[in-house]
Amino acid sequence: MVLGLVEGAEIVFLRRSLGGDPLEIRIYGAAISLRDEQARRFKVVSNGRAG
Amino acid sequence: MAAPAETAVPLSRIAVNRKAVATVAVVGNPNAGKSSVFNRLTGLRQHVANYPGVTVERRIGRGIFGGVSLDLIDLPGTYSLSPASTDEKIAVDVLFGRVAGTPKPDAILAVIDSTRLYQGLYLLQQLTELGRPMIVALTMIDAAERDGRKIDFKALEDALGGAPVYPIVATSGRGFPALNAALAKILAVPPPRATAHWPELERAAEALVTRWRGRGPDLHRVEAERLLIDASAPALIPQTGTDIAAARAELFGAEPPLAAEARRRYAWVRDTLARVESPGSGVVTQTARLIEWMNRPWPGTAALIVLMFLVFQAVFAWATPLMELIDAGFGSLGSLVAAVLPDGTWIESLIVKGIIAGVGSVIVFLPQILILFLFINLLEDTGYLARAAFLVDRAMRSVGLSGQSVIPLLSSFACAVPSIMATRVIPNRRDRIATILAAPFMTCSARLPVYALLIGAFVPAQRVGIVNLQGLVLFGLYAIGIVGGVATALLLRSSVLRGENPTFILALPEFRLPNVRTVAMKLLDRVRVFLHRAGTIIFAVAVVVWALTYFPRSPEVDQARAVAEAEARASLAGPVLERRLADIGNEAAADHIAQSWLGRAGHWVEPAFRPLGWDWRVSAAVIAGFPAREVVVAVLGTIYAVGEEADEETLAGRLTAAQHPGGTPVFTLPMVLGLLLFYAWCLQCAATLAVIRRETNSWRWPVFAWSYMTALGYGGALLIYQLGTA
Repeated sequence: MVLGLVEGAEIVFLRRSLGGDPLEIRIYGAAISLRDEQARRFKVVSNGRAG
Repeated sequence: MAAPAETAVPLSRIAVNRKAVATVAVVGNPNAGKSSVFNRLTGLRQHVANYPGVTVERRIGRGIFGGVSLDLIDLPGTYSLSPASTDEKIAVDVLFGRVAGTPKPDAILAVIDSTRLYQGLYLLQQLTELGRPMIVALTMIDAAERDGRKIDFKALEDALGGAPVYPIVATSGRGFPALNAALAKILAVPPPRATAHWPELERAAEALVTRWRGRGPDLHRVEAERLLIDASAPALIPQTGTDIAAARAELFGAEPPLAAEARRRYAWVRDTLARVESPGSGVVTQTARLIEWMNRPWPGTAALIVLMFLVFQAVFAWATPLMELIDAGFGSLGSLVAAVLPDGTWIESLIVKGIIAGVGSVIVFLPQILILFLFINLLEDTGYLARAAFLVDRAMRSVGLSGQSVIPLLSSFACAVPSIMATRVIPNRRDRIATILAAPFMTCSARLPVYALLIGAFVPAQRVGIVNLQGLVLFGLYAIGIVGGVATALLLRSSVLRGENPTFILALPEFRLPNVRTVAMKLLDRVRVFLHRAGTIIFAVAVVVWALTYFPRSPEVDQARAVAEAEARASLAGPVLERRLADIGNEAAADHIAQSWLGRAGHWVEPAFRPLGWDWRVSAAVIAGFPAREVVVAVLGTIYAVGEEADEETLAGRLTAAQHPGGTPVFTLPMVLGLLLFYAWCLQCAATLAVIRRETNSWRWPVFAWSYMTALGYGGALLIYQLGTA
């Protein structure tokens, strides 16, 4: 939360690490690493834009 | 309650005998380059101590800006004024002046990563509300430019209520002249303009402040706000529980306060970011492209493996000649002193064999430790190790560790002592303890002399195909150490340390050039820890072992020696006489040690180690090595009558020829392999035990670690010897 994963935030999914976990996303230019089980708790709505 | 830390930087520690005009808190996100900035501003005028009651280091430095002296406090990195760890809590407590012995900062220097403004703005908004003069340093501006980002500094200053913003690059010093000039006038900077970001919270906080006035220390409105938001905030003023609970229920309802705060503040952050940062032309530079490619899992892992290989090669290639130099140096020093002091007295023995050899055995590891830590610090500073943690996290979790365990475990290959201290970065206690217990399994520098001796003497120097046998065995020992560590972590995490994996959300820093100054200072730090913590203990142990091998004195041995020498002088002359006298001396030393305390201990425990194929000499040497492995080779040398300074070939020769009373050789291949395994898995380092105790705050873990690893080593050696001799 403190890192900015709040409602309405735009994230860009970058990649998954070895074995699929953790995953890296970019949120307004800042890269964050998130474990799969936590990532699942967020509801993400695609807005169709890449990058 | 622990004693308070020192109140002021001692005069002896600073270059200028002038009292500081003000105290400035250097605060910001972790990995934003705060320490680089701090180091550049204060240079060597730093003083490191501990905050009372916690294992967090307090760094205060003196900066002189245009004649103005300022005390700068390097606070632990934090993402918000709601602390998520002990480190962050200290940062917040210092800001509010709640830490005994540390002055409340008069002004704030916020250090924010310009490539991660999204997170930085959150903290910045909170800081502007503190009502103190504030300057913002935006670091890594070159990385932002490389990514094609453009930041409107004026708009940012405006959004921050007028707080001046200075773009800098900590590595190159770009932007520092302006920053220095600003710091010189920092007290004249007006506090940021107040904007009501959250009127309801502010009103509730004001109400509480007024209500509690006179009942305790005067609170700033922001402190009251933090009390309302943080469920775990200490009650600074007695009997305020109900007030706080009532206000929280009214303000937040069912929503967790932190979530409410995050929601509101980040709305402002998004808004501000849109005004302040423009994504730029979208042209991606070659460097950026290369870095993106390296971040992908497979190239990244390949790079990691190659890097690790190169680092270890470098460590051995560069360190070995240096270590030999140091060894020779101490040897010469010993001979020099021995020539000066009266022969055969305990003073001479103590100084030459106890003290000089003891200090030498510590210093000789310095090259390896320096080089390995240099590489690790460099990688850490470029932001690469965070990426490595990201890559290996899944693999690490399958063995009960965490991605962040990578740095401490790597450092353990040099010396476990500073690396166990480095486990502080691991937020989850269970992960941290698992890492601490796995660390001593990594083959540290101290095991290498024993490995080198035994492998050199007993493993044939042949090639099997393209593989060098001796190198193979050495690699095997490293591998066995790693296997032991991993198995331990796994075992612990599935039994004693069982528990949930907590939230692991890491901010990944951008790649940047390492800052030589920061790397150097961190290196000095780790070396200081090694010399001070490990070094003092190793030295003390060397002296104690010397005493155990020196006392009690035996007149019979001395007499026998005198007789043998007289005989030799009567019948020999010249170089033959010299050699014979040397041999007599060595034999006398061996006989002497056989009846010394250590020798007797060796005889006493011999039955316990006979199933491993050891005789009393090996047992005695191993016992001597328990507090510190380093002394083993020297003790072996004495016990086998070659003197401690004999070269490896002579000692190896003696070992090969050593026999049990019945005539069978002591050092058979199964016995040697068992002995090597014993060394790989046994915890023989008092310094490590001491630091484990300190970091886990209990005796339980060091005792467990020692017992567990000794049992493992014993069991392994037993198995190999019995199987091999069956």
